Amino acid sequence: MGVKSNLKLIFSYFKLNLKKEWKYKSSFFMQIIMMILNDAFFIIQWYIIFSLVDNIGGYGFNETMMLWAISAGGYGISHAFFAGAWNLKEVIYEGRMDVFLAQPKNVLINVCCSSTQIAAIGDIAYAYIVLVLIGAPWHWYLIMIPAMILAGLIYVAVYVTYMSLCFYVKGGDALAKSVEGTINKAAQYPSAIYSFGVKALMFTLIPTFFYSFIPIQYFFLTPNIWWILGSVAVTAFWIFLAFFTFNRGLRKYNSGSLMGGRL
Amino acid sequence: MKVIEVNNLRKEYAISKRKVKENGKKYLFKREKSIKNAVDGISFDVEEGETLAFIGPNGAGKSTTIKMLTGILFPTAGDVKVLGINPSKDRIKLSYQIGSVFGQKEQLWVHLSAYENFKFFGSIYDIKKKDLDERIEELSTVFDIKDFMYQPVKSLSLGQRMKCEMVASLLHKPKMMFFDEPTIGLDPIAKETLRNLIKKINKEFGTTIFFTSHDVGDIEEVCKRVIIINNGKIVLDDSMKNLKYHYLNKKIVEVNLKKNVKLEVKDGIKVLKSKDTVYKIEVDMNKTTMNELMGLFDADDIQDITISSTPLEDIIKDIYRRNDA
Repeated sequence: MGVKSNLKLIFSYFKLNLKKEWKYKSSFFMQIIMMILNDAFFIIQWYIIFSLVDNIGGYGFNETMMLWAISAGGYGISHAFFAGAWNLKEVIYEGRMDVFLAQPKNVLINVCCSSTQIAAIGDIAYAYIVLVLIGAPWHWYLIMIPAMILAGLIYVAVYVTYMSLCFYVKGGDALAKSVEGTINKAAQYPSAIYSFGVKALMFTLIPTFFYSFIPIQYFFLTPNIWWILGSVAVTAFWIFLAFFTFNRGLRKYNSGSLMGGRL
Repeated sequence: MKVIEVNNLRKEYAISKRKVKENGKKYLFKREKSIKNAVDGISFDVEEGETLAFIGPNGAGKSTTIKMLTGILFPTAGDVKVLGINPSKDRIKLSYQIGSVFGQKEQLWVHLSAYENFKFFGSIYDIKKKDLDERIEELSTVFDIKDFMYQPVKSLSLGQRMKCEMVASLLHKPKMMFFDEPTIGLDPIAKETLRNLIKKINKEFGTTIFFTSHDVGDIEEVCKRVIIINNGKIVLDDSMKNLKYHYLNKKIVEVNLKKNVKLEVKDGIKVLKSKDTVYKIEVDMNKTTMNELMGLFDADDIQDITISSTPLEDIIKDIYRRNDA
């Protein structure tokens, strides 16, 4: 299966999911607007905090806002294109993978792309709203695209890697959910506030650094090609790990006999 | 040409439960494992163009077998080849050549129209736009779905949905179709339509049909060969013609007499029910003849008589029970 064929599959699903959601136009726009408003609330919160202190761990208001932009953008990409990954627990435990396995496509990509969270489009839009708000230079708007894609890919890859535990043990989703929660929450605060031990974890088992801190520092603030290539390599490694653990687990998959349809 | 070759196929499931103490109570942490053979060393072949019914009671191993044949489940042991391909090693290659319809698991997105679904499935199977449009046109005519294929799937009746499910599964011109209880929940007319369509697919496109159903009518009408599986083992593999010939040897005679008679006990004649002057009698044609039965009555006493064969459903139930015992 070539990259081209898989990219085609990802966009076919995205198109299909948009079409599906577009049937209910008011809900479609409401979800996006509500997500932007939800994210925007934190702008006020940080504005108040930075009116009281100059910086937190060396980060000022703009840098902190960029943290939020990249983590919202990464989250947005992961949930706009690969929201099916967040159904993996049910797909594995309830034996709902049959439909995907019967089709001539990579199962993991097929499952992950099968769903789109429309609110995630609001997250992507929010990343650009932040750029406007902080008066970012024009080229940041372009850099934001690969930065968000890398963040989104590593986010979903880490989640799938841990979620593949569900093939082996009941309750295997608990670890995946706490790792996901940690990445998401930890990425929203300046990295300098964390101790050495926590940072070590954030570089390895819970790769928050590659989700937000490194993109901000080395894609935007002080561009460095080696760090950029390094983050691409680490993201590729996690993607490989996600496919490896999922495909190994697939051998343990037990189909179910639940009746069901696709919404 | 053989399209399915199955040798000694086995699928085990490990079942883990809390160990029981001597006093009957359960340990909190200690567990014991046991192995259940869902499919227990089955072997069979299917020829190209056959219509095969693969039947058995609930939990017999039919769906597990279908899932191993389509690459959905990995076998524990044994060899499987479908169209010369090992499903667990080359699932993607096989998927381009087979189609499946699961009556209990719909593959269409219900908020979209069937037509939008077909377009999406075209991209899943890498069908070129022109070819896909031609195929949709051909199948929508054969399946008579043009009137409703632009409506959201959720607004269709179950029968209409199943037709659309079948069209979606046939878009890529599969050489083999697997049907797992496709008529479940359908009314008699919709069932009849679907059965005829399956026969049509087999006849017009030469597609091999592998069919499971609990509805004996489906099997009788669609399939020429039947494999019965129970407790993971094949208990019968024969043509539908032979099944009927060998097992339909019992006749049910319902006779209404003018007066009560005492029937003489004879080998091969069994009174199933008697009420007043009405008798329901089972006659085993291998042991006796209808003439022998008639000899038990005075012809002048007979008011009414009906002779029927044992329904195929009863025969199949009997085979299931015999193998459960």
